[in-house]
Amino acid sequence: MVKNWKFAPAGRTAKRARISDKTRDNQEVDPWLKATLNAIRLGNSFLILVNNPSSASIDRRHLDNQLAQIAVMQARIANNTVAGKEINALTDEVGFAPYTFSVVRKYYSGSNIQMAQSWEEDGMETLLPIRIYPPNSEAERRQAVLYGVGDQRDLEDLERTFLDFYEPSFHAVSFSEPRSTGEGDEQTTEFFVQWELFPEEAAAALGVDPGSSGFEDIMNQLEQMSAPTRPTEPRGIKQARSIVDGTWPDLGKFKN
Amino acid sequence: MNGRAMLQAYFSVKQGKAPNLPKLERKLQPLGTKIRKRNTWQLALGAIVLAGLVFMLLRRVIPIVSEQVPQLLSSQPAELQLIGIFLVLPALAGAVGYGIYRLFSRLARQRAMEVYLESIRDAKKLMVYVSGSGAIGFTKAVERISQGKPIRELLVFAHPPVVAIKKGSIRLMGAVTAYAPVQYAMGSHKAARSARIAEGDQYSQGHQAFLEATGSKETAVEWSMIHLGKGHTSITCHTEWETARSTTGYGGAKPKRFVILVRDSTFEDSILSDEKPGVINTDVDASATSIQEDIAPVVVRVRNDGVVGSGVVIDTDGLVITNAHVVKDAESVTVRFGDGTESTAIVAERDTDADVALLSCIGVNGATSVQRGDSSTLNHGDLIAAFGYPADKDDQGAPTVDMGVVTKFFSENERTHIQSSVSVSPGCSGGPLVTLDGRFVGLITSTHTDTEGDVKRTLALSSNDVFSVISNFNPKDSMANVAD
Repeated sequence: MVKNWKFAPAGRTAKRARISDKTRDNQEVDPWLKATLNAIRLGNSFLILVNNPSSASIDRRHLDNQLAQIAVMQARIANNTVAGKEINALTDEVGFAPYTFSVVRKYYSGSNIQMAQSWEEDGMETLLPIRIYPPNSEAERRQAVLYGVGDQRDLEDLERTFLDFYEPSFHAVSFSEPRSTGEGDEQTTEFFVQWELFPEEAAAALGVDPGSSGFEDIMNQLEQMSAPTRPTEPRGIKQARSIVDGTWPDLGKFKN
Repeated sequence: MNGRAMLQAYFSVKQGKAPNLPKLERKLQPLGTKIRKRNTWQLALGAIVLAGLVFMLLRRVIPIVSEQVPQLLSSQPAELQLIGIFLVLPALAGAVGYGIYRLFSRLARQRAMEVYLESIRDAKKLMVYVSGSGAIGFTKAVERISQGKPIRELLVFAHPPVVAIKKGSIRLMGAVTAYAPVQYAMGSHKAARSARIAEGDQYSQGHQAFLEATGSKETAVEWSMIHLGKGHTSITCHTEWETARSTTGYGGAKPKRFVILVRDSTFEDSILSDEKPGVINTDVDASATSIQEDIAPVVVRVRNDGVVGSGVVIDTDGLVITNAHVVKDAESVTVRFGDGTESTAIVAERDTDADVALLSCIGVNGATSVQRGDSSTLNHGDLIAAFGYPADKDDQGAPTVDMGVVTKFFSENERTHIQSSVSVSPGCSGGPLVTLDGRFVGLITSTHTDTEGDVKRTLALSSNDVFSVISNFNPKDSMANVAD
């Protein structure tokens, strides 16, 4: 059976659906997958998947550094969004697909061509063992959120180049000005991207079979969070009950 | 307990195994430096006045001491003179000095805290919760990036092992603002679970304290970083404390959450195979349908003159259960269903001791009824949700929902009451407590404040006891009376 998931933001039409052509098995779901599901069910939550490349301390340090940089940038953006969407409102533009982060990169004014060439040749490095390349077809387009901290004109150039080359299916940007620093400090423009993962990539990042029931539960939950709220079915009121004819249901059925 | 007092308590390290409060808060000292520089002239003036007072005091005291003490000592035996000179007098001087030191250090700590809280007051903050050994690397990385400068927009709640603090791997600084030491939950998975739930309460209190102390109404973003790997406490435990903390939505602003799952390359399935799924009640409906959609139709608003409560539809013929204290002595009440339709309901039976009442809605047939669960299968830490209508009589909206965990079980009059961390407002009495797969496991009866943590808790009568009570009702008799 072919399984489709749609992660378009509420009220928008999904342009792409990915497949997992495996039969849902009956194996027991790992507790940690259930727990992941519980975590995202708390609501309003993006699921971001990140892998440590190895247990070597240099790899761990790299990942810690990247996450810390991203946290510092997001904190800055959350406190002072100067362009694009506030982080709280990102889901107006993108859905609740499984995501990962790219590594944090610096943007230098006028470096568009070199940057685009590097994207074409090497792709964009992420915090998973995959690189994101510009799409060759409609099916390869992903949802993305571009976060940036820096000079506004540079960020606008960056956004233009990013959209030209990656053509995200849905996208949002969230920018802030650089932190005021002391004299002599170089003010650079930094950015990173929150990239949608295709189901196979998400399953690999989680280390599970894409056809496993636990993985499907997570994807179903994310899909449901992306979908607009459905109206509740109206209840039927069919006939009046006589209060004096003694037609009570047997309350004994409620016995434990 | 006000916000600042809670913060002090939160920073306080118990059991003497980790650095004490002064050591921790000295790390905040650089934040206070700027303010102190601004007040230099005031401090200098104060110091001059204080020095003058001390000088005048000593001028009067020293002659007295120099005359009286030798006289007093000379009248004593030689042994006592020696003890007095070498032990008592130095001890007295030391005690006075220590008292002065404690006084000033306390004032300095308080000032440092005030300066720090003031400095982060207006920032929209990103809160990062990070636990386990993964916390060490992350907090160290934040320190590296911030280069020791405070980042007022970023608050990191870190629960690294105590040993990391002792070694100095984790330091308290501008960016890393809260720390509550916990012990490694060595041993069984169950022990780990209960430890994480306790951590959740600490997080919850700490977060709330920060928001209150800084007057913040808004937490813009929250990260929950979960490390999954060899040697890390399992994700199951982490998400359980995360659920328990229930700090989102303070002041009405619901922050965007990022659940960041860091999967370690050393992660192996076998690591988690020791966890007994049977022990962990995290079952969820595979269809993952919205609990709100499932439950909202079976929750009704019950109005009895001025009293507003909630109720649960337990039968398609319109039988509703609610609290006896909601219907009081009324013979009939008004019931409003989720789709807005209203019905008059006869109060068929009530048990004031159990606080359960059974209503029959006139003219209702084919109503959606709640799915019955088995409350005896609940465990501490299980995820549950509570539904109910707030007491606003004009409110036309859907029932409110809050999620939490089971924190305690009470037994009273041979009935089981479930205490949970969900937060309900007045008017939710009679509403259902359900599992995440939408099964009814308790009837909300009251709230109370847990004296241990000054935290509001919700009490519910277990569903098994609710059904036990109503199965003993005999509504025909009471209905005959109504008909008469």
